[in-house]
Amino acid sequence: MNQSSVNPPPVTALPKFPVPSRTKKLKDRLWRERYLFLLLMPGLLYFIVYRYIPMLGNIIAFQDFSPFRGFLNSEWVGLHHFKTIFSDPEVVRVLWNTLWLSFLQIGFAFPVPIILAIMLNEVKNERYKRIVQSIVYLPHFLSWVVVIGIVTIFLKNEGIINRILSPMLGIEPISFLQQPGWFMPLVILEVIWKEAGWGTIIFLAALSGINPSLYEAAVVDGANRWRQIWHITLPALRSTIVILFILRLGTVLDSGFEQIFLMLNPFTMDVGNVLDTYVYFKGIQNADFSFGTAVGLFKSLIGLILILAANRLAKKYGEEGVF
Amino acid sequence: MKKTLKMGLVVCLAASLAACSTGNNAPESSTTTTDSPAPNSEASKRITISSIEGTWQIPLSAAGEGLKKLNEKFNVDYKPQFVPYDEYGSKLPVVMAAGDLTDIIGMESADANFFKWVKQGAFLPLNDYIDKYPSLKLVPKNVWDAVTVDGKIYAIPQYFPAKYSKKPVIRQDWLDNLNLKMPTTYDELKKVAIAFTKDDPDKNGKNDTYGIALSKQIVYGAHMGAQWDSGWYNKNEQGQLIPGIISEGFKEQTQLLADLYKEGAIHKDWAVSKNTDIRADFYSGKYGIWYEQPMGVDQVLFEGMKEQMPSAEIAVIPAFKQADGEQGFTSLPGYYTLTMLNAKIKSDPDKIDRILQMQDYFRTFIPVDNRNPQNPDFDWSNGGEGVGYEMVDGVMAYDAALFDKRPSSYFSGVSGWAPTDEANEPGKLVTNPYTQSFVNATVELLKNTKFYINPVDRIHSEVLSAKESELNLIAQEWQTKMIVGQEPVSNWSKMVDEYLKKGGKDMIDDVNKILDSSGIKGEWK
Amino acid sequence: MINQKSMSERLIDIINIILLGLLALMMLFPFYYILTISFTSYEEYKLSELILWPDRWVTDAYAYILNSKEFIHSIGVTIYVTVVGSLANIILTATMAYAITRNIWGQKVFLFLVLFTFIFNAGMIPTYLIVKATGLINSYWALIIPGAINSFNLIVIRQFILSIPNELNEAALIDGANDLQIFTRIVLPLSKPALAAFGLFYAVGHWNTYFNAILYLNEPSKWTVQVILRQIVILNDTTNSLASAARDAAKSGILPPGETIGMAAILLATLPILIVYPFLQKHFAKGVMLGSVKG
Repeated sequence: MNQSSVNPPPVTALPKFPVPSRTKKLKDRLWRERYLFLLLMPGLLYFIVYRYIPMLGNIIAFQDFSPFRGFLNSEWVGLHHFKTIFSDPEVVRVLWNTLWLSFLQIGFAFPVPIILAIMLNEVKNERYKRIVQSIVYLPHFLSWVVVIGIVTIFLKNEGIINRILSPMLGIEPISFLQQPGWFMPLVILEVIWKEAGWGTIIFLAALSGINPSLYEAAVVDGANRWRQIWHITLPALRSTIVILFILRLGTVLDSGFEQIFLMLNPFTMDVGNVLDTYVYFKGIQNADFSFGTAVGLFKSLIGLILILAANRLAKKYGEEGVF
Repeated sequence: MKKTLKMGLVVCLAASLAACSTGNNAPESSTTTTDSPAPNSEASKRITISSIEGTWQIPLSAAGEGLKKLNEKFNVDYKPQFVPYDEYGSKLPVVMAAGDLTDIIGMESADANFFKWVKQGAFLPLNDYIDKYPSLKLVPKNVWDAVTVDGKIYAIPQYFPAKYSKKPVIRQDWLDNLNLKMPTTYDELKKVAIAFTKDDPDKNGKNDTYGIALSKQIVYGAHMGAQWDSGWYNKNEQGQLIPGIISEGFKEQTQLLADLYKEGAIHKDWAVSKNTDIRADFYSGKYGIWYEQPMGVDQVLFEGMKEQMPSAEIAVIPAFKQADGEQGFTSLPGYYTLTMLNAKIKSDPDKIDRILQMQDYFRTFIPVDNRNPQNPDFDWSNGGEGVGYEMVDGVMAYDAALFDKRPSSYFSGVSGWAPTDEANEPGKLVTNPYTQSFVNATVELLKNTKFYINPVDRIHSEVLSAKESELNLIAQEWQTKMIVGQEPVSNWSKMVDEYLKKGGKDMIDDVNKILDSSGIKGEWK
Repeated sequence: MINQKSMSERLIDIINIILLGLLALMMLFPFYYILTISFTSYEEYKLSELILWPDRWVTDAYAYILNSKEFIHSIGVTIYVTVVGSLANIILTATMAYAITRNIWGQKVFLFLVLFTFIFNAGMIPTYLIVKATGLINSYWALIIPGAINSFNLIVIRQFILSIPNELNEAALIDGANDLQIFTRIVLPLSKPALAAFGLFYAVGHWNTYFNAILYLNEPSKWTVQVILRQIVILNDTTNSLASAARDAAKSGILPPGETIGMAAILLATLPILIVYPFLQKHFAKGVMLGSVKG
């Protein structure tokens, strides 16, 4: 497709912007940037209509929402739902589980795609690289239902893993799925298995931008493989890593509902019940939207604080940050 | 091309998209009358009726032959919406909260949401209409009770046989192989289950069988009668009825399961095994005891079993004799799924009438022997012989491809209200002789079995609606741990304490108060 | 000395290749398992716990699924939604990302508006109401427009665009190009790898659309493949015993859906996106220009 064939639309079709202030300067600037605004408009409109207007509905967190009374006439209960979040001792445990899981995710699952991308980047045989790449992306396409189904088949007491392990080590079959201690490791491993390959895409795209001559120059300089990775590959990834990390912190209280929900059973409820599943059990199943919304707001607030802090920290150390 | 698309999108977004949707369902303006008028021909006006309900099947297309016929016959423009039950529980509250409600609303049961919405005034009280429709008059009082709030009936319950829930079944051939008698007490049951595990009941020389099948969340335990299951049958020291799940009877059957687990008569993976997988395993000869129902049995499973194990026989275990001398199972509520009308159509009596006419038509029971092409109602509801169905061995053949040709498919949640459970004659609906003999024997057994009508199915307690499922989860967690020995069964009272403390006591008080004031009691039938 | 070095270099290469190979095998095995089960007869599947090579390869499961009009139809629907949706996503995301990359008036505010939605979101009901108010209920656009821009993707694409050397912009400006021309002639071509990658992200999202299809589309004929897939694969497990009795009654006589059909359905539903994927993958590698100045 020939990009140059795209002509600017006639001037008359341009949106007219209200010019509120008396400063001619602003008017001039807006006129100068008219094409940028043209490009911005659809997206901006989308955000306002579909993201911001509905956000006003979050007021139901402070109401005892009844659909037949609507958003304005439902009974106001103030911070009642937020107090519920903190008054239940169970929530403390649930919050702890959530944070612990996120910590493990960031510690173990987050770096894997980066390492994998670097490993792939080091493969010289393009065909082999392409094949491996294609394969490691595959699990992403499976839904959690399928993944957990497969995990169950493999890890059952009678599953293939136990059939191999228990005669080899001379031990009783391990009840991976029933022992609380295995819950978090399994969750993390599943995430790695399913998403690590897919996660490399973003890093590989960044790596594809590295000029090969840099490596050539490094080889001439006598830099070995590790040094090349350290001085060329990693710096190329740095800004992507920092951004992803900051954004990840914003979702620290999200745990991937479907996966956890499917993994929970009475034995693992104590260690595995996280905020998302808790809200589901308490709020959604009983169509208690007010409570669910309150928890959502609470999660957002925590996320906001963390993201701001991380961004500030990143900037302090000379990174670009997200904003 | 890209450019046009982009511009199109920009315009689309700018215009707030109102006009850009492809499938806006604007009501059709055509009000042409069709040549085949509705049965009661005062209905000359074509009425648009919308509905939303859950389904267990792959939903039907909105352009099916069957729907057209339905529209013609009743002179309506029927717009049904089917949502898989998996997600219906999420969609309905949203639609409800968004005020986007259809004329007809289906729900699975009279749950907490049902009563919440009744209170908020979502549904139309039906008391004034019921007497006009013969099929509605057949509904027994105890079933109406379930959907009545302050004397007003808010839903039409749909028929489901009260007696034909899943019952414990046993491999009769295994009993015979080991020279064992049908168990009549929990002690005997325990011995049988252990023998099934250790004495090679299928005589294949391999140690590959288990006594009793159990799946995650203890969907079915070993409920051998009203005293031992989850219905409200037992009483506490104050003489109040209590939920079965915390009763001594339930403790007895939990103890049995714990003992059997210890003996290896229950599969080690039960707590993480899906119900369907366990069922498949039962039919491949892995388990000696499982649950099955006489109506809607899966013939393919039965046939497959007979093919692999020609000597296999399955029989229902009769209810055990209880300490109080009674003997029988707890009955189902007598309905499955509810149909409500939107309160907003109150001002449109024609529409109400038309909806109830349609309900009445499909709720009219056709005796099994008349279900053939000669019966005009049967023939029409199923789309006509050769078009919507074929008869094979005197029974309508199953063919999913023809579903959308049958008007009845669009009213699939509605079935004829049978005068008695036995009138369903499920034996005549299956063709395979092996399945038939099981079904007939089961029907015969259940016909002579007493059933306990759970009084709690007939009342509405707000505390119960709000608390029950959560409390059951607590109990279930305890019991799961007890069965696998992580928690001794002797800690039962601790479980009961937690149950009562977390709201169980309020619930029991409330339920008993309502029972006392309404005069509704548990009764055997 | 030099020889030794290349020896250890080669060793690293070999270990790397072996490790990646093992990893790939680990990721592949479950697919192999799904594949074999989908070709195993139901009887054989029932009898054994783990089948690595079926005694008899049968295609019953595929025949059952491909016989169902709904499944085929839903694939068509999903392809349509995926193609149109991903294009819309990419266009809207790229245009907005570009605009707030430049020093546009109010840039900080717009950026903040985007970031804010990364953390704060609207609930299900208000979103439903706006979808309804804009006339999208029961239209395919309801699957496309409410999620038109993913804030996260927008931020990352913006980051890509930022890395395009400013000299290119300035040169174009001197040549008399306007912002629109810069966008289409310089930014878009240079961001191809990023756009291809995020196009695929979006596409996978559309392909897996499930709950929104159920929520916003009232006619089953408009449902996407994942909805139908779930019907085939999952709707067999319910913990409510009355529901399971009723469901069995409703389905009586149906071929047991069984695991084998589920596995076949998974493969069939995953196939189209696997086929498309290599074509996009090529693009990822092509973006050599992109970071050329960065290093």
